[in-house]
Amino acid sequence: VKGVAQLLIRLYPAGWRARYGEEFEALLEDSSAGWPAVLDLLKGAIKMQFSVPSFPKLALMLSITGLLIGLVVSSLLKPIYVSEAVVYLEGNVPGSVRPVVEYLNAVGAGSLKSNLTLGHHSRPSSESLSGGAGQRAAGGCYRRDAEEGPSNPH
Amino acid sequence: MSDPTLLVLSSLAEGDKHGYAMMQDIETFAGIRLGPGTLYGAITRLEEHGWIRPSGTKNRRQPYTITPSGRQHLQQELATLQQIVKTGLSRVKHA
Repeated sequence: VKGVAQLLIRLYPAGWRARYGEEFEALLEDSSAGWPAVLDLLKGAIKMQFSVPSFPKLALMLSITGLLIGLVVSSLLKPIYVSEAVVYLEGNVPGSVRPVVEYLNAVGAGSLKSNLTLGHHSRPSSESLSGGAGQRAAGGCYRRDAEEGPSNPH
Repeated sequence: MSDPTLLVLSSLAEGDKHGYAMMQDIETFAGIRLGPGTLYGAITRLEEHGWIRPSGTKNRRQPYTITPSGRQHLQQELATLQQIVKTGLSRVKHA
């Protein structure tokens, strides 16, 4: 445990170690450094790092704070937009497509809802992308509180 | 009274001590075992305020001494604590 404690001294700021490092090591040699002491050292190192002003540390701290605030705000806000898409597959629908559709519906269950439906065309459409087995997509995005369904397709 | 800075000042009010001696003294008179990080965090803050300073020659087991301003600060803090203890005890009695 003493070895771990002595390694943790390196977590303290360099300036602090230059001033107190030697006597701090002597204290660790004298005292019985158990796991509570190791935790105390870790806590002390973090406090000491943040008590020494430094631009990279400030930037890191503000970035983490901004990220956490963003996460909290986004989790508290209700979803505003709903997107819907319908993909028509012509001809025989390959079995391998169905899991993809299910996956897309599953990932769309978060803040941006998406409904992907599998449809069939019994006759060839002029909007088909290719001759044999084509596909066509339709859908839109609308405000959840403004309209019932898609009216402004993108 | 568990503020580490007050515990260190109270320990040094008796006489100069190095880190480990402070740790043992505090455990004896307050029943609190300060961890090394907490102890040296307190020593760092107290030295920054000018309330303690290293005494004697530079040594691996560096002793510290309380300064006159440190002693004055300790007296003020203890007087405040004494007032709190007195008020708290009287209210507990009458409750």
